[in-house]
Amino acid sequence: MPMLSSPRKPGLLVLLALLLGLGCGRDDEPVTNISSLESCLEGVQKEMALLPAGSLGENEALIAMGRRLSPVGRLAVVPYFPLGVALSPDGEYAYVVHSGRDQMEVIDTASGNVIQNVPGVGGFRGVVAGHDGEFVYSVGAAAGTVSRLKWNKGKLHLDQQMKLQGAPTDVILSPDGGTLIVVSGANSKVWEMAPRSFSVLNEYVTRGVYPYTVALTPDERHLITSHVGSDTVSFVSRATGEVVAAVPVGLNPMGLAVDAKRNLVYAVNSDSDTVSVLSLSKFAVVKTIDLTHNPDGLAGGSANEIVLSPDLESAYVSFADLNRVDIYALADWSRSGSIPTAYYPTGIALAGDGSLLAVANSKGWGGVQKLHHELCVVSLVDLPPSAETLAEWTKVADENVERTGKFWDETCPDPVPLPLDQDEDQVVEHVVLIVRENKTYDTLMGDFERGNGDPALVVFGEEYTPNLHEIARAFVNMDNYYVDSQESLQGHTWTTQADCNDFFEKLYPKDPAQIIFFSYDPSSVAGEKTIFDHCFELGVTFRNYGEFEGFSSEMMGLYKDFINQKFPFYNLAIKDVWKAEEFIRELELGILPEFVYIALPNDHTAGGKPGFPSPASMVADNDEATGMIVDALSRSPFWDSTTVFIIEDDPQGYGGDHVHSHRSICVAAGPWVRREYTSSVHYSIPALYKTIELLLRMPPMRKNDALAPPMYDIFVTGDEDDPPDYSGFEFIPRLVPETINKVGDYMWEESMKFNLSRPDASPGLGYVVWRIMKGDEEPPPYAKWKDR
Amino acid sequence: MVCCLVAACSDSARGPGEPTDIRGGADLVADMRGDDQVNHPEARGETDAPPPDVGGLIEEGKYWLANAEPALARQSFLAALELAPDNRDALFGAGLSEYVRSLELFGMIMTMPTQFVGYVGGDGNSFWAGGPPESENDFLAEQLSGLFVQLRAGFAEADGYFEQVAHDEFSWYIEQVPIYVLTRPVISFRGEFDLADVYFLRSSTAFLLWFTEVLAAQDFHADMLTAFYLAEEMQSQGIEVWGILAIVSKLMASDSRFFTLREDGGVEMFNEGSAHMRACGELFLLGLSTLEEPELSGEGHVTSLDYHQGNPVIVVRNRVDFDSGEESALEIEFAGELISAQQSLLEAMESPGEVVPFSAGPAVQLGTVFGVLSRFGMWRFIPVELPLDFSDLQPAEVTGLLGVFFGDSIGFDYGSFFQNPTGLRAFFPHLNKEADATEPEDFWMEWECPGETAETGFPLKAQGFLCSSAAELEDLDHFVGTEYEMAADGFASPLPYMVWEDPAWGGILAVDELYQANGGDPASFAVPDLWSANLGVHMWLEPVLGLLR
Repeated sequence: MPMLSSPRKPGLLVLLALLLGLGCGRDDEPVTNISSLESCLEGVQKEMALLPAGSLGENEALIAMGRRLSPVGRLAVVPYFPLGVALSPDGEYAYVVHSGRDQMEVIDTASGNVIQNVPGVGGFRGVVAGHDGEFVYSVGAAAGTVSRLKWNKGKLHLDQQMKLQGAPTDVILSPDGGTLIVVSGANSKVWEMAPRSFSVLNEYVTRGVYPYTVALTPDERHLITSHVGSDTVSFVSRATGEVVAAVPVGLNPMGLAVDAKRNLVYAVNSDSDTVSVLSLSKFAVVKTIDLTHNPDGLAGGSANEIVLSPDLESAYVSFADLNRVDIYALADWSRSGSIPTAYYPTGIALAGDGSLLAVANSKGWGGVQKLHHELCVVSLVDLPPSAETLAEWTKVADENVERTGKFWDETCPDPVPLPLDQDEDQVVEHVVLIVRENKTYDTLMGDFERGNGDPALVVFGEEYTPNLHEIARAFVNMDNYYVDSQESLQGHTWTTQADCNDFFEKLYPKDPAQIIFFSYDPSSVAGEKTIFDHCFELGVTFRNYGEFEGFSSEMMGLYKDFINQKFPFYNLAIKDVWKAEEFIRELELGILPEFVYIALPNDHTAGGKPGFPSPASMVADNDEATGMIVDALSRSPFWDSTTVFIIEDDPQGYGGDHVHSHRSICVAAGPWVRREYTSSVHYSIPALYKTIELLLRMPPMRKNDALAPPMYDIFVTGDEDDPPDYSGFEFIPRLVPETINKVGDYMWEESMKFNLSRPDASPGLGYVVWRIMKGDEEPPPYAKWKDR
Repeated sequence: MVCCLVAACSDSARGPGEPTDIRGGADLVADMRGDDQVNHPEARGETDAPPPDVGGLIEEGKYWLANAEPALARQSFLAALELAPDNRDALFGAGLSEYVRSLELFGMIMTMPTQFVGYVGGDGNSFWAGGPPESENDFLAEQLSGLFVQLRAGFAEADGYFEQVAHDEFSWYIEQVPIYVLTRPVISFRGEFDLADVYFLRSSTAFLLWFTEVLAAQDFHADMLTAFYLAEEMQSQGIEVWGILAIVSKLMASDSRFFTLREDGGVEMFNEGSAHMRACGELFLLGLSTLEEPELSGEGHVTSLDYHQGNPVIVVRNRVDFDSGEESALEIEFAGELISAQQSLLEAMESPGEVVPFSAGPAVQLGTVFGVLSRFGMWRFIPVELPLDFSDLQPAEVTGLLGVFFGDSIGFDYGSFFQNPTGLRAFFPHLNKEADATEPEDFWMEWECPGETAETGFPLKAQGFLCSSAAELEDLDHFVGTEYEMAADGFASPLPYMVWEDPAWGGILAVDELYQANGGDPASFAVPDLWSANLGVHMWLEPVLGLLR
C-alpha cells in the first residue's frame, strides 16, 4: 500500500527565495550533504554519539540521558532507591534506608559488603547513628514510625519502635547525644525524644510546607527546618515553641548544614542549584551561593544534600542529576573538586574524622536490566584524595556530564531548521509533539526492518501499529533513543519539563506516605516551569491537547485559552481517534500554534479488563490516531514549516527491550527531516527538547536540555543536494478490528484490579498484556524491562 | 525580508514576552477571508475617525463560535466591544462565547480529579491530623477553591454581558453554536436568539453561578489527602453510602474549618449565590412569558413556544446525539403546576418563616434541573447508575417522581436559610471522636434492628449502614446516658439515628412530626431538634428505603 502522497512543490515564495539565492541568510554557507554528515559522525564523535545506554565495562555505564557514570570508591550493592545514609562514629559501618522500601542495610565500609539487612524499620531518608555506636535511629515516613536499632552480638536488631502522628522525614541527635529530634514532612511537627527511654519529651510545630531536614543551632536554642513546599527555612525556639522566623530561600530547599565556626546554616536549594547562607544571629539570608556552574544560571543539577568537613573548612554537596559530589572551600565557596558517583546521589554522610564519605546513589546504574528493583549502589570514598586524584576525578565528573554536548562540532553540516546558532533563520515554525503511553522500542519496533530491533520482543508490531511503522519508514526512525523516566507520573514530568525534579524523584517510588499531588503542586515541577510556562514567558504560541502536567487551578485560569477544553486529560474511555479528530477539526480551522502537545494515552491499554477494548484494539486506536494527525498535518498549509515527533512517556512493561530498559521510540516526520533515515545517535527527552527549542528559537529551560545534543543528524541541510521533501503521509486505517474484553476472556480476572482512571495504577499490566498477546510464551531472559 | 515572509524566520533568539495570539496559525484563516479589520488603524481607534462598523468583527466572532471555538470568538467580540462598547450584538456574542467557554471548561475540570494523585498512608494513618497552618492540604484547599472561583468568574463575565442586552427587542442570528462535552457536541443552538433566549441563558447562568458560588464560599481546609486516598480505595472497591459518609466525616473531623464559610468573603459569596438562586427562577419565568410573544417563536428561532395539552413546551434547536451526531429539536414541556410551584417558591425565598414542603421546594428545583438535563441527554456523562431511565421524562414528571419517592415529612424555610449564610457543614452528622473518623465506631449512630446488630453496634448487612429488609425493626430510645439522649419516636426505621451538627441544617430544615398521622399539613412544620430531625428525615426517606435495601 503506497503511503506517501505525491511530492508537493515548495511554496512559490520559497522557490523565489531559492532562485534569488536568499537562503534565509545562509547563501554563503558551505554546501553540505548527508555524506558529510556521516563523516561528521566518524572518530571521536561517533564513539561518543552512537554508544547505547548501559554498561561500558566494569564500574562504568551510560544512563538514558547519555551521561556517563564512573563512580569512584568501593561500591556496595543495595536495593533500589537508597535515599538516606549514616555512618557509625568510627566509620566502620554505613546504615542505608530507602524510599519505598521498609528495610535498612548495614554495610561494612572497609570491604563494601552488605553484612546485614534489617526489615521493619520503615523507609525514606532519616537515619542517624548514636554517638556511642550502640544504637542507630531511623524514621519511617510510610509507617509514621521512629525506630531504635541496637547492636547485639554483632548484629543490629530492631530494639524500639514508636508510632508518631505524621510522616517523619528526618532524624538527628543533639551534639551530646542526649536528645533525638524527628521532623514530620506531612504535618510539620517536630518531636524531641529521649533516646534512652525512647519517649517523647516535647512536640513543636514548625512553619512551612513539606519539612525535609531538621537541624539544631550550635547553642541548641533553636530548631532549624527546611521546607521543600514553601521554599523556606524555619527557626523554632525550643524554649517557647514559637516559630521565630520562616525565611524565604531558593526553590525546594533540602539539605541543611550548620557551621558553628561562622554561626551560619547552609540550605541547599535543589531546584535552584544554590546554597542559601543564613545567619544564625539574624535568622536571615546573608548570601546566596550560585552552584549552577554556568553563566546563564541554568539550574538542573539537583544540588540536594550537604555535609561539612570536621574542621568546617569544606562542604560536600551532592548533585543528583550530575552524578557527583562537589567539594567547596567554605571560605569563599570555590569548587575544590568533584567526586564522581553512580546515578543520582541523594544521601551523603561523612565519617567523624572526615576520612570516609558514604554516598547513596538512588538509581544505581540507571536501569540497565530493569527499571525498578534494580540493584543500586552506595559509594564509599576514602578521603582526602591526593591533589592529582581529585583533579582527575573532577575532570572525569565534568566530562561525564558534558559529553552529550560534544556529539557535534563545527565540522559538521549545519541543517537549515536546526542551526547550531539560535540566531539563524527559522524555517520550522510549528512543532507537534505526540506523547503516547508506556512502550519500549522493541515492543513496538522490534520487527522494523531498519533499526536495532529484536523480533522476539515485539508485541505490537506492524500489524497493530502500521502508521507508526510507515511514518518511521518514510521519515526518521531513532533506534538509540531513550525515555528518562521509569513510569508515567514521572514520565509526564519529563515530557513537559525535560526533567523530573529531585523532590518528585524521591517520592515517586510510591512509599505510601509520600504524599504529593504530582503535577499540580509547584514543588513537584522542576524549577516550577513546564514547557508551557516556558512558551508563555517567551511569547511562543502553544496549545495543549490533553496533558495534565503542571495544570493547577492557576494554570487553568492563566492558560485556559491555550488548552483545548474539548480534549480530555488522561482518559482511556475516549477513543484516541476521537481525540485526533478534535485536533484535526481545529487544524482545519487554521489553528496550529508554534508548539503543540498532544497526549494520546490509549496505547496504555486496559489489559483484559471487561468492558474496555482489548489491548490490540486500544493500540490500534492509538496508532490510527497518530497516523490521522500526521496525515492531516501533511495535507495542511502548515506542513512546509512543521516537524512532528512521536514518543512514549515511559518504557514500562510489555516484554522489555534487548538493549536497555529505558530504550523507547522516537519517530520524526516533516519536510525538513530526512527521508527513510534511521538515526542511531544516543538521544533522550532532553535532546528532543533541545531540538524543539532550537527549531522554535527558544533558549533551554534547564541544564538537561542545555547540555543535551540536538537531533542534528535527522534534519536535511536544505542545500541543493539535500533539500526538504514536501511530500506527505497518508494514514492507514486500522488493520485490527475493534474487540471488547468480556468477563471470562483470558486474563480478565487479573485485570480487574487495574485502576485506569489515572496513570501508574495498574500494577502487573505489562505481564497481563504480554500474556494476552503472547500466550504462555515467556519473555526471553535477556529482556530488559519493568512490569507495571 | 523575503526570507521572513517565506518562513517567518525571526531576527533573533526568543526574548521575554507573553504570547498575544492564542490562535497560532488561525491568523491564516482571517487572511484568507480578507478580514483585516482587527489590524486596521481605524479599527484600533488610532485615528480621530468615527468608530468604524464592527460588523466584520462580529461576523468573525460568529464564525469562531459556529466552529466551536468560543475562546477565539470571545476575542473577536471583545475586539468589537473595544471599538463599540454598547454594541448589543457584540455584547451578546461576548456573553455567549464566554458562556460556552465556561461550560466546556466546567466539563474539563470535572475530569481533573482523576489526576489528583495523592499517595497517602495505606493503613489510614492520620499523617495530617492536627497539622499546622501551612501544609499540602492547605495548598489543596486553595486549589479547590481556585477552581470554583475560576469557573464562577467565567459565568459571571457571561452574565455581565447578557445583562446588558436583556431589555427591549433583540435578534441575533447564528448558523450554529455547538457546545461540547469533551470530544463531541451535545447541543447545537441554531437560528435566532431573541430576548427570551437571553433570559433563559441568564437563568441557566444564574444556576451555574449559584452552584459555583456555594462551593467557592466553602472553606476546604481539611485532610484532603487522606480523603482522596480513601476515595480512591472506595473507587476500586465499589462506591457505597457508608464510604462516602466516612470520607466526608473524615474531612470534617480533620479540620474544624472544613465546610464552613471561608473567612475571606465566604458570607458574601454565599449571599451572591442566594441572589442567583432567586434570579434563576425569576429569569426562567420571565423567559417563558417573553416567549409567548408570537414573533419570538418559529422554525428559525433557537427556542420557540408550543403547547401540549395546555402546557407550554419550549422547543430548543437542537440536541445532538452523542454517538451519531444527528441533530433533532428538543421539546421540554413545563406543566402549569410546575410553573405555579416555581412562582410560589420564589415568594417563599423572600419570606423567612414560610416553610415549603419537599415536594413543592427541592423537588421542583431538582425536577426542573434534572428534567432539563435529562432532555439534553446529560446523564450519560454522570458516572452514577440510576435505577430508572430518566432520558425521556419531562421536568414535571421528574418532579413528580421525586415527590413520589420522597415524603413531605420535611420542609424547607428558604427565607431563613438565605438570611443566615452557613457552610455545608451544617448538613452533616456529628462525630463521636475528633480523630480517625474512618472507623464506624467513631460516629454517633444507632440502629433499630437489634436482632442483626454486630458488636460494633452496626447492622450486619447492607454494608453496615442499613438494617436489612429481613430485619425486625424496633422503636428504641437512643444515645441513652449521653447529652444526646432521645426518646423513642414512635417510628421504627432501618436508617441510622444520628447526632446532627445542626439539626435545623442552617435554618432551612423544618419537620412535620405528625406527617404520618396527618399526611402532611404545612401548618405543622416546626424547627426540629435532634429527635425530630431524625424522625423527619427517616420518614422522608422511608419510601425509597426499599430500593436502598
